[in-house]
Order: sequence, then structure tokens, then C-alpha cells
Amino acid sequence: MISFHNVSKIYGHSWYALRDVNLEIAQGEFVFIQGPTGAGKTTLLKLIYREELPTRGEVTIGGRNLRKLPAKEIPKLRRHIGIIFQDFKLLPDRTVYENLEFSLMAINFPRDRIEDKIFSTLTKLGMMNKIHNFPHQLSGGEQQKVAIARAIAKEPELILADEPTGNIDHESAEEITKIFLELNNQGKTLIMATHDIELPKVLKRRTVKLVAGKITEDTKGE
Amino acid sequence: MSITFVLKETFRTIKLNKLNFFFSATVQALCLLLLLIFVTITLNLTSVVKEVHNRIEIYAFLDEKSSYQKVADKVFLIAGIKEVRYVSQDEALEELKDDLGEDASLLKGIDKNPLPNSLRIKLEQDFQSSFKIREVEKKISAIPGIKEVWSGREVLEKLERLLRIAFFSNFLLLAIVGLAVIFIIFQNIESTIFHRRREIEIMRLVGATDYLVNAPFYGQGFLQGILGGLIAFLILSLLAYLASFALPKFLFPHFYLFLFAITLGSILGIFGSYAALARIKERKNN
Repeated sequence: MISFHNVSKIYGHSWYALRDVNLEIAQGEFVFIQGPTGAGKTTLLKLIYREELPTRGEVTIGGRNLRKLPAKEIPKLRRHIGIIFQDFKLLPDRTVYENLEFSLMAINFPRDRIEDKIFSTLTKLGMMNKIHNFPHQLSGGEQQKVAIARAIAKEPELILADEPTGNIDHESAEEITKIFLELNNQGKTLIMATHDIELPKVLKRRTVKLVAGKITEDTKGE
Repeated sequence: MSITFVLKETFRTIKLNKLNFFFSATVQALCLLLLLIFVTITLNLTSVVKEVHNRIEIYAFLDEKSSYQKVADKVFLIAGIKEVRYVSQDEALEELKDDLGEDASLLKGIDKNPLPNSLRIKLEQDFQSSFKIREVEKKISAIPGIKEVWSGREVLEKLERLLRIAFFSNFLLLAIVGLAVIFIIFQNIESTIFHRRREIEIMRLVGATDYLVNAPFYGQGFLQGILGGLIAFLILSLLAYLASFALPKFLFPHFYLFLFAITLGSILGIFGSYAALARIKERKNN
């Protein structure tokens, strides 16, 4: 599904965020991109959702070379990808419902299905009781659940999570991880960037280790 | 593109920055008002010049011995002549007395009528400009039996020159006001883009098209332009109402000026939005 072929990303003149990365991720896989801060995890995710282009090499998704993807096709690509960030990226002046409605309306999701979709997604995540709350009225874990709800409401095939448990307490992190496993069991491809060494070990999933932009390990899960 | 979404986001943005929105619209209105005042003055000046064109007559004063009929026949052969009327010495004197009114008694001391016989010549519409009048005057002067030609063309030339200056000033003002209004809206939209940066980021990440991301800003520029145009038109209407007391023939075509103000405001608003979005895009690319 996703393929990195000799990919390097250089910022400025000589700062390598990624160096000669070769990686294949199949549909339905759950892959951890693990590494310390500055290892290139976020850059790798950005290359997948075409926020960045590789300096060298090619990234393909579903056989499509992202370098050759016209700018007007980028939104179409992103509609198939759910993206989750460490800082949640919720709109502070909108309720949970409005946050989800905003992102669905922004992609022309059928108007008559929006309400049902929001209700069903929030119910799945156990957040229906917070539907009219503003982000500042939610805990970190709850805010991340809303961010997940926003990412999955549009029914993407691929979910990218950039340090999704980095800003939340341990208990919430476990809950979020369970949600990701559940999504993966439903057939979604999941790529999660984390600096946590233990989490991939506990979940026994494929782990790609990045150090200074290079893949140093690629261990299969069980 | 979802119109509901665009409208919702446009009004939401305006609501969040309403003070800024109304302040910018008011400043923009004052700029547009200046232009509208000039346009109204030009319209009135055009009307005056047109009136003068319609009224203008060439006076061809005849030699004492010449036959007015023969001269008139020759005058008629000149292109652009609409009407030729003979005015005898006596008729001219009567006209003068009428024109002088109460001061007509001044003429009592004159024994002999000093006024010559003349032809009053009216021109076709296409020959009523001062340039054309000058040409016709030359041709009339060349006809034997005509002593002198007069038309008051000099006044018309001055009026036409004034009108040309007014037209040129309008275009110059349009350019200056246009740039000023675009700048005002540009500043406001740029500030709105900054305030909405998180919305923009989310929209881009979830897969919104550029059209949808940009549409609320165009919507805001458009509405701000319309509001500015509307305020400018209302103030102008008030000024025109006051002017009509002093100038009974004051011309104020409400509908066309309203349309002009609104259309110009909205077009400039869209341009302002475009400029702000283009600048943001340029910055992002750099």
C-alpha cells in the first residue's frame, strides 16, 4: 500500500531528516515508527500525507507516486487518510460536535449523513456525553479521542498518528492505544509514530526504528 | 463546493472580528465616497455640457448689401447644418431689448439700429462639439456676404476641457481609491487568515480543496466590499439631497450610482481577498 524507495529528505542545505529510507507497508498493517525526538518520524508521516516531498527517492501510495501527484489531487489523497497529532489540533471555540461537523463539511461529506456519523463515531469512542463540551472542558485523553473521532469519521483507509499519547496520562494512553488496535482489527492501516520504546514491545506489532533519519531496525510483530 | 459551509464559515469569521470588519468597511466607505462624489460631479458636468451643446447656435452676421436668402442657401450646403433662421436688424433689436429687460431704456439714446442682419444656425447633434463648430464656423466665414461669425464656442471649449479633466480625475481617483480599498481589505483579510490559521490547517489536513479553504475569505472580502459601497452610497444620497436644495437641476441617478457603489465595492473586496491569499501562499512557498 505504502512504499518508500531510497527516500531522503534534506532540510536547508545539509540537514538530513531522512536518509535512504526503504519501507513497505501493506494494507491492514499496524506499524510503529519508533525513535527519539528528531529521528525523522514526523517527516516520514508528512511524506505520506504529501505535506512534504522527498528530496530524493520516491514515495508511493496505492501505486501512485506522490511526487507526480498534482497539487489539486492532494485533498483527494488526504480524504483517505486520518491524521492524529500529539497536540490534538482541535478548534477551541467549537464544541466537540462542531469540531467534527467542521471537518466533515470541509470535505463535502453528505450533509444528511453528518449528524448520524458524528453520533455513531462518538458513541463508539464513549464520548457522546461530551458532545456539547468545548475542548477546554475536556481532559487530554478526551481531547485526543475527539481528534481520533475527527480522523475516523470520514472513514479513511489509513490512519497516521504522530505521538498520539505524548500529551496524555498513562491511563488515557492505554485507552487510546486500545482504540487504535480496534481500528486496526476493523481493517484500517495504522502508522503510529512514537518515542515510547515500551509500547511497541507490549503490543507486539511491527516496529520500524528510526535513528537520525535512518532505519536501524524493522522488527515484525507477532 | 458546499455553499452552506462557506456561508457559515464566512459569517462566523465576520462575527469573530466584527469590530475590525465594520471599521475596515467604514474606512473603505469613505474612500469610495470620495470617488462617488467625483463621479456625481462629472455626471452633472456632462449634463451641463450636453445642454450647452443642444442650445448652441452660430450667429452669422451679414453684410448690409447681401441677400440673406442666397447666403442661407450656401450655408445649408455645409455638412452638419440642421436649421438656418434669418433674424433681421429689427428682430435682433427686439431680442436685445428683451434680454436687457429693465435696462432696455439704455437703448433709447441710440438713433440708428447698430445691429446687423444675421443668420442663426443650428447644428446636427454630431457637429455640436467645439472642434466641429470651429470647422463649420470656418466654412461659414468663407461664404461671401458674411461679415462675422460668432458662436460662444470659447465657453464651450472651456467646459469641454473641464469635463475632460473631470473624466481623467475620475480614472485617477478610481485607481487611487481602488488601491486604497484593496489595501484596507487586504489588511483585514490577512488578519482574519491569521486568526483562522488553525481552521485552515485542519481543513487542509482533512482534505478540503483550496477553493473551499479560500472561499470564506473571498466571502468576507465580498461582503465587506458591499457594506463599504452601501455606506458610501447612503452618505452620498444624503449629500445629494442637501445639494438638490441649492441646485434644483442637480442630477443624481440613484439606481445606477447604487449599482456602481455596490459592484465596485464587491469587486475591490474580492481583489483584496485575492491579494491577501496570494501573499500567504507566496510566503508559504518561500
